[in-house]
Amino acid sequence: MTQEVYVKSIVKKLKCSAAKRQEIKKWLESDITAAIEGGEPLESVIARMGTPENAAKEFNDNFPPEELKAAKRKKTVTIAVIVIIALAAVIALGWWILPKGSMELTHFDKEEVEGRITLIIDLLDADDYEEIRKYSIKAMQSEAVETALRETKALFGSDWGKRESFGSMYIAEVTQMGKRMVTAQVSVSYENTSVTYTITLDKDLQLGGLYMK
Amino acid sequence: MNPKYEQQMKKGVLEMLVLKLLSEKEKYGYQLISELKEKSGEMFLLKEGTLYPILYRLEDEELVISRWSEPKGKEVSRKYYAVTKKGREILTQLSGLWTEFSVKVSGIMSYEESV
Repeated sequence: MTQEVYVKSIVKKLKCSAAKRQEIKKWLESDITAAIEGGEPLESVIARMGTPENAAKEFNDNFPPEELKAAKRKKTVTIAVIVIIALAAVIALGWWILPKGSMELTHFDKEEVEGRITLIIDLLDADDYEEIRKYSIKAMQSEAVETALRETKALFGSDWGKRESFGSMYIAEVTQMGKRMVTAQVSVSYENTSVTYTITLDKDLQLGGLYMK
Repeated sequence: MNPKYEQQMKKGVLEMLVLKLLSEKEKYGYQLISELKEKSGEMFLLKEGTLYPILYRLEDEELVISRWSEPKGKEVSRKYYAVTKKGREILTQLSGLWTEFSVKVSGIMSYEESV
């Protein structure tokens, strides 16, 4: 073990203020150097002073109780601060991940949203998937999505009949993981069935999600 | 003998011995450890972990003052301690107390009850 490693190992285990720790480090380095210059080999100095654990214990046992109390308090405060910061980070991350919705539209124009939702439902009724793709985000433009849409529609029956009524549209603005979206829900009645659409559009009003009930 | 008793007894005089050694001239830590070892016939084998806190206490009580030496060339800086006026006064009081203490203790220890 080198002198530097030995001194550092002791100092790390001292229960005192940072300033005192630094001074003891300088002091130990100076005294060990003096011992070596006086003809005492480093091995002998280490044997005399004991293992870093024992040497540090000797210091800690001889520090005044106030010093030990202050060091313990500081350690407790440091741990508490780390725990608080970690908790705050977890809460912030959770808040960032969770969707936050508001019925008040601040970043979207209500009429524009209503127009786009109506257009998508019109296109769905017409089975015009080619056109739907033009108004969808990239992930929704695949063949698999078209297949899924066809299969879902089939679950409501093979012949829906003519559209009879278009219910009130409920629109909410949603922010999740830094992304702003808008979600609308509308019930549409057809001759032979009724469907409640929940449609999500991204900030450019491109179709990002579709749920039918 | 249980080393705890010996340690306890030595502990009570360490401050006085350190003050005594420093009353001759200013000294640094290793010097104090070596001198104590030599002058006590290896009875007082002080470790740094014991000496430094004693010196801190003496300094807090203004019985000693310290200074870091200005290193010359490749020399390392050393922390020197010297006794203050207050320290000398306390040392005188402690010396008197020690003389009385040792006389009384010796008296008790050598006393043989007469039947």
